[in-house]
Amino acid sequence: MNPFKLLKRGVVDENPLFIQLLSLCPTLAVTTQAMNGLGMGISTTFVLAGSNVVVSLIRKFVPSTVRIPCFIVIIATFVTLLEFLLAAFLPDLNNALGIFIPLIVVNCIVLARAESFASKNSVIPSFFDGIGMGLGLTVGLTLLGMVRELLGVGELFGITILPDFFPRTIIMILAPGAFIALGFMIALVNHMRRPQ
Amino acid sequence: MHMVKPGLTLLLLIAVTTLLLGFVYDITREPIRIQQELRQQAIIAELIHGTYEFDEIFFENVPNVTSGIVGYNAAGDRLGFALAATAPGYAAAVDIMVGFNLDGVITGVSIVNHRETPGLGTAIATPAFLNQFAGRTEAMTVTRMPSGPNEIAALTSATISTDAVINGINAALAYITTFIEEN
Repeated sequence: MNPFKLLKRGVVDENPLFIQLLSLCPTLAVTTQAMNGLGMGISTTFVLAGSNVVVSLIRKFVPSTVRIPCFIVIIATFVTLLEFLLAAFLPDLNNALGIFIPLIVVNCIVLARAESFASKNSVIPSFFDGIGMGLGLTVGLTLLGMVRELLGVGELFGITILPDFFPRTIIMILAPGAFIALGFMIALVNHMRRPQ
Repeated sequence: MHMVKPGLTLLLLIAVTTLLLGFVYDITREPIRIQQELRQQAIIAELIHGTYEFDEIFFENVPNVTSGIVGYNAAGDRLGFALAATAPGYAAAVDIMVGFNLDGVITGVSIVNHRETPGLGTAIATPAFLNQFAGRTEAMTVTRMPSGPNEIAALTSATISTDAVINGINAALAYITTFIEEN
């Protein structure tokens, strides 16, 4: 499959959030604001691409009985490395993304791509699969964050959008609001995908 | 025999990654320490305006207060104090720094480190929350509906995070009050 198709598959056809329904745990916690969704998406994209490449590189040496523990070790290592390196050399980026990095370990999309794609494909396609899925997640998290931020506090990326008289629905920035917003968005996506 | 190879593979992988992590930890430890020091200095400069140099206040086992400094201007006059305090938050300790003038009045509060929930607990680091502390001199309590002058409104869905900040500030207030009396 060519790189462009892999990217499109991650963003559109098999979007991790709207189609695969993966990584819901950090999704609920993080998407209270559009900016947070974007930050989490970008951080996860780095880890996805990196772990996919490494898993693909070692796929022939890892016995299938211990592949899951091996993948988890690799992902956890990547996340920890990213945490150290950001804190040491990119303090500004670390201030913006730092709180999301530890959440990536519990993000099952990373493990899912290692298991279902990178462990069966060569390095270049695995890299683009990671980037594509990461971008798909970024788009999904940012859209969900925008909906919740707009309805919950009347802002988009921290800028007030809704006039004062428009009621703020505080439940939208709480966990139940994430389920409600995501449910409506998945319904919309399913409606658009349905053959006419 | 069929169990040996998987075990050895896993062992080898963990050995390699541990070695790699140890190596990266080692080379990033010093830069991370420098970054934290720079941040702390920037925070001190913000809390005590015009700080030219500062001295550490010596500490002996004060609960929740971890360190403190006295800020001086270029002429060597005392300008104020800044205390680092910590209190347990939702996910990990919330480290804050509280600035005081020479009379023990709070000049400002900064969040140094926290791991609170993005979108909920992270509101403790917003100016809207932090700006309400300047000018205070008395211990505060957290309530849902503040009615008294020393009651602070809990942040929506982040009561534990709010508590952590207030506990830290109260500890710093208690310390600085006795410190000023004794010195």
